Amino acid sequence: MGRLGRRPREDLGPGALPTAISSLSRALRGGLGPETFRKAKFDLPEAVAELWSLLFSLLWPIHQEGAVAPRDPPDALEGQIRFVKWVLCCYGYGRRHFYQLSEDGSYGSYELLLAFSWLLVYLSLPERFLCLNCVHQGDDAWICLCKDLASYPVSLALGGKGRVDIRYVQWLLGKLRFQWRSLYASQQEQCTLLNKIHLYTRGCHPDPSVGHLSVPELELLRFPESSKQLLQQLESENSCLEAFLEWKHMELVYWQWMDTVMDANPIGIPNAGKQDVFLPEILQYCSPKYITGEMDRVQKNLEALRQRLQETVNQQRAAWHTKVSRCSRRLPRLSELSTAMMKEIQETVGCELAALEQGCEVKSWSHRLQRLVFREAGEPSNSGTHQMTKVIQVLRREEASLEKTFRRLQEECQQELAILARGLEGVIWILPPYQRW
Amino acid sequence: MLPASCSHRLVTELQGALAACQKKEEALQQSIARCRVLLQPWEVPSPPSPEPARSTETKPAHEPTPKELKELELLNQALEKALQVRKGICQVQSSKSASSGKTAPSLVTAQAGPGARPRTSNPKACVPAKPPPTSQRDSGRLKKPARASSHRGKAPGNALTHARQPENSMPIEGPSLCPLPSQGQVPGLPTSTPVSVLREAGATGPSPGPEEGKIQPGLRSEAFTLKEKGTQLQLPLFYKKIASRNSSLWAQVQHYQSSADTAVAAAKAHFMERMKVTFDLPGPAISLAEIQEEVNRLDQACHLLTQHLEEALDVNGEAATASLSWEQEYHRLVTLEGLQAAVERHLLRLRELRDAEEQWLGPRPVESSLWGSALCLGGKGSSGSTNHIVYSSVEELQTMTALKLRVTMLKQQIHLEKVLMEELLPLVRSENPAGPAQVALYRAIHSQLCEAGERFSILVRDEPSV
Repeated sequence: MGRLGRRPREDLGPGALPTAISSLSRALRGGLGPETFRKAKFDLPEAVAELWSLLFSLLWPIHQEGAVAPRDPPDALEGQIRFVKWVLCCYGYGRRHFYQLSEDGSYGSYELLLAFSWLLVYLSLPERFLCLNCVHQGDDAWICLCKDLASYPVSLALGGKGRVDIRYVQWLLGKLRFQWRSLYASQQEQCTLLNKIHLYTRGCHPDPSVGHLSVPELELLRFPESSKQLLQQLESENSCLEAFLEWKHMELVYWQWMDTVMDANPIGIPNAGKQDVFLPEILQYCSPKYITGEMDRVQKNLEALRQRLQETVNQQRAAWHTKVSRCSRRLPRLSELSTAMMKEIQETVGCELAALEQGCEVKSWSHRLQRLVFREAGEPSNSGTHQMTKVIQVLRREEASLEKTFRRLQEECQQELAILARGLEGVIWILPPYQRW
Repeated sequence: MLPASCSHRLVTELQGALAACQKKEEALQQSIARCRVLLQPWEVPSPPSPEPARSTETKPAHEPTPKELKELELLNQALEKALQVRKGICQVQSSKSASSGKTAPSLVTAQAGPGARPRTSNPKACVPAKPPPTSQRDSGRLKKPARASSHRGKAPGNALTHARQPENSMPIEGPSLCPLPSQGQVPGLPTSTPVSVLREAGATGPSPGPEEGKIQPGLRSEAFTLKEKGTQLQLPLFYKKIASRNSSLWAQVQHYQSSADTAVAAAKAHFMERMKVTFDLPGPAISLAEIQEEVNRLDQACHLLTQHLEEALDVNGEAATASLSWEQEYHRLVTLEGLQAAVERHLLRLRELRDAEEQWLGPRPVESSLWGSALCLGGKGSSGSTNHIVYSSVEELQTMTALKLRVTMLKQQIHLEKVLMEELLPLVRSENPAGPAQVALYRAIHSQLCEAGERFSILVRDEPSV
């Protein structure tokens, strides 16, 4: 245990590079040996297939996360190569020669080694890989809302082709409302059950800061057969972590070696022929022009906000001027007094807005996986823990603001439709008896 | 009928929203089912039955698929009906002798070979067939329907629990008390292994320790529930070892992440610099992935600014404007101006990104995955308490989850409202509302946009008397 991360750097002898590479390889759960890397340095074709599939196996899971309908990975090397090329292109990897590599994987190990090393830095691949494959043995509490319902990309394939009646749309909306209710009921029930489990197993966890067992841990006791997988996963995660730490310790050797690799440049200066790079569109499972669509959406939101702010600021400025003129009539010395005060206020607001830019308080820790821990009121708890009450506060604020936004949209429609309703001839319009808010 | 493009967009958006909800619901149902199984009695049957097939199965295979869940629901409905029927019969036949019902063959076979139960078997297929014979064959058993319905009483609506209950309660109550014949077909969770729970706990682990057999001292002889003996449970030693090693390793990883090695960082930067020099593809300085990331950031920023605006105006709403001190008034003005400046900045940035994107894309339409999702990195964090979130009562937990759902729901609702506004308002504007069809459309749109589809207005046609 103490072996790792404690070795002084002077120990790194001539055998250090192979060790570093093999620990990197283990940390990435790939089966690549130092020999493959050495071959790649000299652009030998034997290493090509292995490197392509390593790149594919690293990039594929990253881009499957969060997808509504995960796709099956392409089996053929050709498809994998296309995927890797496409992803690298999106990341802005700019070596033309890399994209010109043939899709039968017959040559180009040197290029692949460069691309792999570039990804190591660009994506922090080992770290990302660890987080992506992290085994959960606690009851997870995701506070993070970035995978919430609204953020799911909509696949165009889901929609039908033909025209529909408004009643169909209403039916779908009703169905959605029903879904929400059922989600609510299920969530409440899940909370009750989780709490029961936590309550009944108090004192069973070896870690006193946790105190009780989680569902996966309890399943380990209840169904050892099927929970064997959890243990295997944990063990394999442990060896990954060990390899990662070893790699972290020896990483410098690798980068020094990469320097020599770049010097070697066995393929010479990549031919500067203006052969066009054509990349087929790989990720069909997302809607076309996804980014453009997103930009349009964000722009629309921002413009609406700008307009609203414009109106409010005008109102506010008028109100402020009225107040100032009224005050200054009463207190002629106000203007001198207030200059300092105004400066102070400006500074306070500046700080508030700067904090806002950096994201609200939840953002700093909400993306991490949290283990849900039950502690009865009054029981001492460590100061470092996140209290649910704080999360609730933040969520309440968000809820209130969203409700207002929603209501404003509804009022907007109400006004627009009221104007249009006047044009309805021979129809008496009776609004529902009460307003929701 | 709505125009084709409008139909398509609305249906697509709504289907997407529904799919997202369903996905969430399925995950929740699975988690609930797992919890329920754990809260049911843990029985320890006497002879260890060999279960060769189970060990090779992977965990995901145990989780019910949506189809199975649906089927389970149908099954439960059928069973409920059967129970009602039986109750009725029971009242009539309560005087009959009980002797004939003791064997209950269908149940025994269902229980006999848990390993042999095909999880792919279609529960629906056996439901219609079984209930009628049950009510005849088991008429003797019906002396205790009260027991069966008491399960219902305890957990109303807990269809899943009910369906599994007999299996778990069998060793305690005896086979004759199990009222439902089809429980063996319940798909999904690893309900069938309890036989080996305690005995094999040590042996099945990857590193069988010496603690085998004493994992649950005093708990081996009889069935128990978590409520009764949960606090006596002990995690196996090998698990404890692995888990503590795991958290100490994560702590070390965290440490590495927080304290960067300058030599390594310099070497990496040097490498990236050298690579950049060799980049010979034309393209703007910002990559597609970075554009996507930035757009996400701007989206988030817009959301935060709106929230801040609402809060700033809220103070306004509570106290009459006149009663505000001039400091407060000035504070609000400066805030609003600051927000305005921020919005302008973001819009400018967005324009820059658009330009960059156009350069990237050229005339070709490009498809991209959700890069943003990859940014939401998890990781377990250190072993310390920093990655724990503490709750102190079930109400608190429920409030938090309800709020979280409410926030997500509102976001979805707002998004859909905007889509509906974009698609439906032009229709009303352009159409000449003369015929009843248009008026109906009008009414539907009004209800959907202004009342969240929960209330409808009344339209009375005021026919001019001729």
